[in-house]
Amino acid sequence: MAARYLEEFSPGDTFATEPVTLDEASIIEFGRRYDPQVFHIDPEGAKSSAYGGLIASGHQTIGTAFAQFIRLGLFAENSLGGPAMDEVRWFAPVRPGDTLNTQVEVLETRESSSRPDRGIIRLEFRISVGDTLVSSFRTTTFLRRRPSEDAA
Amino acid sequence: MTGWYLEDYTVGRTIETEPVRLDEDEITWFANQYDPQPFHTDAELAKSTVFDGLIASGFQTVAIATGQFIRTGAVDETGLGGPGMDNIRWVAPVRPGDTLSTDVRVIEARATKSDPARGVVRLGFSVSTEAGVVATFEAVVFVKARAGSGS
Repeated sequence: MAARYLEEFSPGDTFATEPVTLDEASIIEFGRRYDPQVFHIDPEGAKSSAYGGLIASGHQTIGTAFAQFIRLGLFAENSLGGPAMDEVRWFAPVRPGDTLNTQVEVLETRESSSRPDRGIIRLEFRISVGDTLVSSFRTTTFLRRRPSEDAA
Repeated sequence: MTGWYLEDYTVGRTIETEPVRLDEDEITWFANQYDPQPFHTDAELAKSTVFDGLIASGFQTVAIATGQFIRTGAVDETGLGGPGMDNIRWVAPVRPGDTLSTDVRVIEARATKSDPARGVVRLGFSVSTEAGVVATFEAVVFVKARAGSGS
């Protein structure tokens, strides 16, 4: 999809990202680097944990969802980075072989009062495996407004 | 070594973690998989972005901070996973070569009504480089309680 300026997003717009499957190797690699708990790094040890087997770090789940949204190309060079994320929730475990489907909904767009070249966009991410919602979170991103010379 | 039980998480208690230096390779490794924007993935392209050079994904900064907390051993054997995070704020960029120091403070700790063997702890994280605070957030973790665990 082509990159969009702030004005080209409206509350309620919803985007489906490309599904992505997490395999055991990537779950363990992420867990060793960033979340070294037995249920994220050791398939054998994980069996006697509260989760009964290996599960992905929640940080990997949200990062994977965010990357799939970026790969849609809607933000591209119009993204000026993000100052915040809110209400990160992990509802259900993600296991090796699970395929993540992410829906992204625009909650709000607002022009900046101090910087006329940009505004903020707030998005809600909802990540599912099959019919089960496994995670959700909300992001805030600075996004370029359409330059005035492009108005025509 | 066993980590902390619910009763050990007294409100106001602070936990210092081991500082960690972030290099360019680790920033781009993470970003290529989890946050593929030019200012996170490509040092050359990043020069012409608003950040004027490569910066770490905020998702990576947060994950490093919680990872360093895990590595203190506080939740070894006692941690039961986490249901969420709140109020994540990225207040300054993190660049290659920066060393991240994370301080953790207990904000709230309460028993779970339906299950006396566990409780819920809310932790406040503050991540700094030599230049000052770069990120703050709160994370919620489930932990075992001594009460009801027989320990």
